[in-house]
Amino acid sequence: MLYLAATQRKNTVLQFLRGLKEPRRLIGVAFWTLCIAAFLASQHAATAGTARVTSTESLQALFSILLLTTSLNGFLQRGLTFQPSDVDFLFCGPFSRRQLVMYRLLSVYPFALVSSAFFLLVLRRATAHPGIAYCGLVLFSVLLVHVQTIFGLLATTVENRIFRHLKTWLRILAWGLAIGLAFAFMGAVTGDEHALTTLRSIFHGGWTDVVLWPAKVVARSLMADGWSAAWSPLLGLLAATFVTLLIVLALQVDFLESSILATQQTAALRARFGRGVVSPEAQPGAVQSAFRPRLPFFRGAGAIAWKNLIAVSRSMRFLLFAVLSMGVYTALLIARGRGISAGEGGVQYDIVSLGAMWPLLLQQYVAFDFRRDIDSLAELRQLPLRPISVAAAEVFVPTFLCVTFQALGVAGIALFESIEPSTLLVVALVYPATTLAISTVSNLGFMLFPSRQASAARGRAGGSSLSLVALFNAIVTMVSLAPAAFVGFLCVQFGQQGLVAFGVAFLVQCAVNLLLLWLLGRVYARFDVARDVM
Amino acid sequence: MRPMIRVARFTKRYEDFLAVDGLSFEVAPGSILGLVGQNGAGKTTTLRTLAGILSPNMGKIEIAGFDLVRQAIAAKRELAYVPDTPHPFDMLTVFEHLEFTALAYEVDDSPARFNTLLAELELTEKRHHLAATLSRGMQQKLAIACAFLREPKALLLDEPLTGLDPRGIRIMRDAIRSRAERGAAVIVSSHQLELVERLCDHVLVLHRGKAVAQGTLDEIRSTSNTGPEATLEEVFFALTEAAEQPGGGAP
Repeated sequence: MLYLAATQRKNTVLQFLRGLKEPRRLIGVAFWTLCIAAFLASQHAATAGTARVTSTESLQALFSILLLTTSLNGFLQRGLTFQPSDVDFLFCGPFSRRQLVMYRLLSVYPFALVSSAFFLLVLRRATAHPGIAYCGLVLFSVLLVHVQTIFGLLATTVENRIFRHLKTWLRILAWGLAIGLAFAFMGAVTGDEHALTTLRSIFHGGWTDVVLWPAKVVARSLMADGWSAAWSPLLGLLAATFVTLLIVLALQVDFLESSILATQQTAALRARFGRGVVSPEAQPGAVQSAFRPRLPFFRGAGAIAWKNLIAVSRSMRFLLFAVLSMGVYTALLIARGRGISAGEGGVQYDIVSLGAMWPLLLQQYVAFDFRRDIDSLAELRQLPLRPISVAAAEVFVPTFLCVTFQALGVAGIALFESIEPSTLLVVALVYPATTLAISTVSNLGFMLFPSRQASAARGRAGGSSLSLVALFNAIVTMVSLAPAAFVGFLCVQFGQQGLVAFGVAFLVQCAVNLLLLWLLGRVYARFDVARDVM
Repeated sequence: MRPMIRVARFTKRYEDFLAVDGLSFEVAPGSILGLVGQNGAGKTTTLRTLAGILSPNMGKIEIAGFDLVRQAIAAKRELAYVPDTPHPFDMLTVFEHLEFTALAYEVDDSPARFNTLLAELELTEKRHHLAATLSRGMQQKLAIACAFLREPKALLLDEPLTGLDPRGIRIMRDAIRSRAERGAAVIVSSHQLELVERLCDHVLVLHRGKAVAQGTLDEIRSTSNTGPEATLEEVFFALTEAAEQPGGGAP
């Protein structure tokens, strides 16, 4: 098993390096490298000549949330996740359960080293001594792996019925923690103490000092100026790592059956993520079938929109979670900012721009389009429908969902801020037009990079392909929105009123959207669905 | 009788690989053509092109008199294709798949008709189950139910019996035969030569993208010189081995 773990890691690295010969992957990796470099450069510029930006308590809050989230995820995962091939070859092999757990841990430890390096980069402003900080982060990451494993193993002992009952509530808690984690990170990275004040008060003193002791210790190790101050927290972390490892190995739990399920679910999740789709999996058992809609809109190509709406109705809970967390995030941003003032022509540009960003952030949650149907393209292609009709029907649902959420968002803002009628008129024109463009471009990006769906088919996320698609989407979205913005700008320059300029820009955007849909239809019609089967 | 499916000098190339090379054949209404060949012979490519999923590089394909390239939508309305590996929509139930097919093809079928079809293919119990949760065989039956729903004039079935149990195979065989009796032109691609022998009235043997023999079983027996009692399996091996010989090809 040691040989297998080492060989797999070696092959992964070699495969990655060989893959760099492929121009698309090289561009993707270069893109990510540039992003990280730009982030570090901006951090460096911001901190030049200033002291460390955050306190031990703030870091403790951040690591506490990380520890809680990891424990919760481990429990919700129920069992251990392996590679699908591990299940096929190792589970029926002559190995003890303890050996399988150790194999699993050995496979994950290298990620702890990498993730610690990432944490060090992100939290550079909060650390005193990089070497000590890295040691502390590595020990803490390994500890997190052990804690996750312990909770994963313990969850297998919980009865199915009770686990199902607990799962929903624990998921809600996990979402809450994830939002808290995002704010804690933001605070720790930017040094904005406001974001951390509340969290700090929750995670300071009392029972938390005992339960979340490792978080406190790793925070201290990050703030340590030298080895003399660091040896005690580092030693504490090392001891905690050993103790948790002993607990993992001592747990006599039958985890094989649960792990097969956890592995399958994780593989399916990775495959969907690789396609830019985040959604729940179909659950076995009978459900209520939808009846045929009466509206003529749903006949012909409209049937595709109907099909996608059914998928939405079966993913509603998940979708609401996503929107709720986005809503909370946006609300906090608004609450922290100043009041929303009106600009030229009485239009509140803050509201217009804030809502217009939403489809970009929600895209992977509303991907009820080609991204979900990629396996069924052959089935769609035999329908007696024009490619542009299929393309329009596919992007209908994500556009409809995003516009609905935007409308709800504006309604929510209206509860706290007064919104000018001219602003409402502008968002009624701008949101549907820009959202349609964003949804179409997202589908175009997905269809134009088959390597992405190939990696998804293998159950991998295809990181560099993902980044390349993200880069493509960002550029093409900007390009597709630019003509309307430019024409609107020209109208204002020639003395037209703001609303007239928006109206003209809207018409231009409609023309661009038609062009994008035609292009998507062409790409769909030419998509290679059969190179592998002859 | 006017053929329902007419293929003339059809060629399909993937970059530098020639998958199908100048294939010509016809299928009359009520006839069942068995498409046989080794892996990579070009069977799936042929069926996918006939279904309008792939574009031919050369040649002409007509379905019910409509040119598949120039009158694609009219031609597609007349045909149904069942792939070797069906990919149903994971979040739709069996019943909703039938509704979707009826909506997309604008077929006004009452749910009673759906029920008859589901009963024929023994899917009634699973009608409200999500397609993603069905077994491989059930998904195959679902794809066939969607294809049968519209009573197509041309029926293209790629390995239709894969994943089915013996009872399922018998049901499917009878269902295919009954569609042919109602006037549909059927093409069945399969590696199960015994099945092809029992089900099909015409056979087309493909080898490396070329037709090495076609006609009734008796006709291809005489082409292969295997004798009047030879099984399709013996004929198939005789033909493909002859084609492998230097200078070999269609006898």
